[in-house]
Amino acid sequence: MESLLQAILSGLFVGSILALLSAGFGLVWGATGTINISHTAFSVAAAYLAYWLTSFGLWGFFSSLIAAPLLAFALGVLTYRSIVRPAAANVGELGLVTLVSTLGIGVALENLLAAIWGPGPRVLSLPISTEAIRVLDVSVPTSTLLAASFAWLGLIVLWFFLYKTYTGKAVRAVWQDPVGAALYGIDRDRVTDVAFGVATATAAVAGVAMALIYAFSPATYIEWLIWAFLIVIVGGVGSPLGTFISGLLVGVISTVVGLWAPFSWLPVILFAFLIGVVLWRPTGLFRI
Amino acid sequence: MAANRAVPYIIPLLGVLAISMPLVISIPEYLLSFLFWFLVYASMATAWTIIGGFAGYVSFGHGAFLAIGAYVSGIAATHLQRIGDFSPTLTLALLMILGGLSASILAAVVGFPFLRLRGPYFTVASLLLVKVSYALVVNTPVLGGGGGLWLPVPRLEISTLRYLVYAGAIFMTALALFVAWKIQYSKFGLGLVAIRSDEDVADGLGVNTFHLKLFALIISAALTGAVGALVAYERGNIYPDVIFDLNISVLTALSALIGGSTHWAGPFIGAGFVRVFDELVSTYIGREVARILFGLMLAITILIRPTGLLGAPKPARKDNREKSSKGNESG
Amino acid sequence: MRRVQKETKAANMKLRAENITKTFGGILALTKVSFEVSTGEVIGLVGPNGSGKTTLFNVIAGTYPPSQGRILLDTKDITNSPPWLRARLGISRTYQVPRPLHELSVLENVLVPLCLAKGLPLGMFSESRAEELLSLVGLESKASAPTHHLSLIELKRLELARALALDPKFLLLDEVFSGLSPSEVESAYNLVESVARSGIGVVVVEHNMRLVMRLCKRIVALSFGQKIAEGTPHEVASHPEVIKAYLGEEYA
Repeated sequence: MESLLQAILSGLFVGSILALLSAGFGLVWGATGTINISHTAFSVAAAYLAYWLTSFGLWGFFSSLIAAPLLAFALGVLTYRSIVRPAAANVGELGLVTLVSTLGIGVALENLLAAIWGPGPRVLSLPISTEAIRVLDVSVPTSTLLAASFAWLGLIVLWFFLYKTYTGKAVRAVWQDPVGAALYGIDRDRVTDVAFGVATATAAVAGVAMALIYAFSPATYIEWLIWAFLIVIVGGVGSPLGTFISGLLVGVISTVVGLWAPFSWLPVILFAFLIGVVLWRPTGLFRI
Repeated sequence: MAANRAVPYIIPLLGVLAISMPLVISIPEYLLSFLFWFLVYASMATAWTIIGGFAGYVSFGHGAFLAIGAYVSGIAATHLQRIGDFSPTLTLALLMILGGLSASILAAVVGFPFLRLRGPYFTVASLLLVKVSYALVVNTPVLGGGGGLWLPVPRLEISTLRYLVYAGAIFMTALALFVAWKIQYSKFGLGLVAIRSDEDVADGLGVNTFHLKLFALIISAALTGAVGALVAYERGNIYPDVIFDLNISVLTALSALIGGSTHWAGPFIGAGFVRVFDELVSTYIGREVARILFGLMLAITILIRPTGLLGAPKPARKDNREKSSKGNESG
Repeated sequence: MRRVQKETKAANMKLRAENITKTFGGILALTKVSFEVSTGEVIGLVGPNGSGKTTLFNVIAGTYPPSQGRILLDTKDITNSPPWLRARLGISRTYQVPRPLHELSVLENVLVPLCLAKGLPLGMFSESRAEELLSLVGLESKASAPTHHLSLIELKRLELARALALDPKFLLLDEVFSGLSPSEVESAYNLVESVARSGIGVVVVEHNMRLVMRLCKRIVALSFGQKIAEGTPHEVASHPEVIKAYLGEEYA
């Protein structure tokens, strides 16, 4: 029983990180129709940045938490301006064109990271990582707690932005209903600029958080992408709340399932499930 | 048109390559290897374009077809050896047929669900296919798991082996080019272009789009699977990390896109360009740098010239819309 | 007028929609709408915006199935038949905003149904048949042109040629007159009339009441997803329900 409780709790923590990772991906997808393959590549890049800065000391780690989102924001806007906006000229094939071109960016980014750090896996470890804290009678690794708290920080900032600021509300409107938002006179172009930047910034924060828990290598971005894809599809492409809940759900399910199924089979089960969902209802299982 | 200009170049080029076969023994190893891999990519890209370019269903999952061809033929090779001594040519031919067959079965199986998806969703599903296959293989000890599968060493002299494998590559390239050429100028090809242009309209015009797409996928997979068997035979081993590498799928698609995915000769030319570029950059600057550039090239090509070198430039679709009715769709 | 299709006056066939109900999510677009068209007839399907006429049109064409009800071609239930099968069974449609197969030339556009639905081999015979169809609609000079060179009226003509290539028993025309100048409307009108005279059953979805009254023998009027009237143009035009639905819109 304790292991089940531990799995659920652990799953909630991991799920919050996954939720943050997927939020930006879903935001861009909903607002612009772009399936941004490079989204998680930015996460991995942020992980490497954190890894590198942490080698200088703990202060390096915290500075990466600031530097990574800022850099990512700028790169996100750049991606939008150089790829998504020009791609809009291809009416009718926008989804495919942006998919393939962001794949190209992802591949380029992956190989850039591999060129600098090599293809092998890295782990981001902080001096406190090996300890564990008891929460609710269950033992949770400190790194998980730390990662989850960064994710929560990111989620709260994101929530504040989307629900309490003017620009954020406009972004949310475009996310949930791009056509309707245009009818309301929202300057879709400027908003999308910001949306892309915010999305990529959250990807960066989530990347750093993921790095605290999971080993990563340049090629890992595809796996993280599949998580994000699954979460967004299950939660609904136009739904911020749905994506959040879906992230938590997927996190819990994956850790609970991991109790019984051997870990290496998890990807297979997950991918098979994802293919099933994509076939059945590509726009989302739920409408929240 | 560009197409007619390409044909006179390719046939003699292939001829030259074919004629150079007896010289295989005296060709330096690296050049032979270069030509071999060029032909491998050329045939893969040509096979890819039947579904990716002609039909417009962009797949990044052809690695799965390559892999199944490799693995099935690899396992068959170990069993064949136990049965008896076959001539190497016959063995290779059998293995390639087996590879192609197994890939077509896989294509038929995944085609049914996957081809119901449109555009980006199909592409994502194809990515998933590769990932699932990789996970499956790595978890299956009988396939060698993560460590890879080793094929029995053919009882051949090195030079004969090189000759045989090179002949196989030429054959596959010629076959793929022939198939693509035939399809492009047939009713089947017309139907595929219709699907690519506007699938719903094609449906309304009585085209059984699903059948055509499935057929295209199966043919594309079969050719790719046969190449997989050839590659496995040449290497003598199959490593999951290598054969499921996304970069292979990326380079295949890129070759087709750059050369012109809507023309039978496009991928061949694109593969030539990609291979030369890869060789030059990898040797003088670095492998990763080459791949970075390929990633960027992919993005740029699809944005600026999705029809590649041999395809006609696509007119902006907005032209028709501007002239259309002032009345809007009403219900 | 050149022959529209090979067979002279096809045997009398009926296309029937029975009690068609269609909901999209929470929206009820059609409620128990029934009507019937025979080969050789021209029926008009009219109604204000949002009346459900496009939805009904799409259900008959096979774009989506009805939530309830049936579509019958004579005795054959085609409710769940996919669009390509309906096309091969003899139900052809055009699009309100023309949708050419833009990567093919004008001639190739017509070749697609000829070779892939009617089964003709690619070659001289199918090409000459395609050219015949193009001259029927007045596009013979543009046969090798890419479709983005065509004007709106020319694109609509291509739509018609393509639809006729299927040798259809029934032709569904979606707002075929919209966006055309008065002289273009006249030539389109003549084309549609000649199609009907050759024995094809035509269903015309149209806004312009004046045209519908001239063209159609029978009219079905919809409002808010329900059939409110059916009959001759005069009967429908003077029907109180119809007048109510159209209050504020011009009609002849």
